[in-house]
Amino acid sequence: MTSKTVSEAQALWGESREAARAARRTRRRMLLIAVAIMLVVGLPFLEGFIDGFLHRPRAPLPRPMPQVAAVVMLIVAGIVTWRNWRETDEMQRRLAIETWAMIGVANFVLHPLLTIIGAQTGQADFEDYSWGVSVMIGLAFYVIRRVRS
Amino acid sequence: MQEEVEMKNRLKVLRAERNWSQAELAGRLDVSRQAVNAIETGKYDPSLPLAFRIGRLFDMPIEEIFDDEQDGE
Repeated sequence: MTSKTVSEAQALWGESREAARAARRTRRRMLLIAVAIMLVVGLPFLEGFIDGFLHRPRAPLPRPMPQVAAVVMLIVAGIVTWRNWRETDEMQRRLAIETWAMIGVANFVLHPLLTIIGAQTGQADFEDYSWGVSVMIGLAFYVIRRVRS
Repeated sequence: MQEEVEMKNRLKVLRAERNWSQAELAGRLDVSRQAVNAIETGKYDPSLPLAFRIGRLFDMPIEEIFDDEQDGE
């Protein structure tokens, strides 16, 4: 008969390895977020810097009121979503995630389709309707799933 | 490829034994009544933390409440 004694240090080895992996994962995620922010914010800044350096004409500034209204709407939508998210349970959260996914997939399919239709029928910016239609599809999906459950 | 397993559970029976409404059970589990109804009817499989909460509430192991119908195959 054989027996194997596992020391406390050996027993903790797995835990320390897992903790090190978790720390590495966290560092990688933080780095990814930092790189994404740098790309989104940094590239337009760099483009503007190069344009200025080459004395290219300045692009006209966007009209402030629609921009401010859009930012306010986004902030309000974010706060409402965050508050609702905290008050819901796991099933409702899953349904919300599935609804957002449905909106995204519908838009992914509709946008190129409407672009082609718009080009063929000579209608300008016809693809802009894809977001509205996608949201309607997502809401219909939500209502059907909600009623069925 | 693994087939999707249909889960059965005894939540409705256990709730009836205690004479609780769906709303009452939902309140004890801190979930919505719709979630309780969806779990009872097999339309939604609870997460592991919620399954543990259900087990603790009824003072039973999870496998006595939920059955994946894999036994005897």
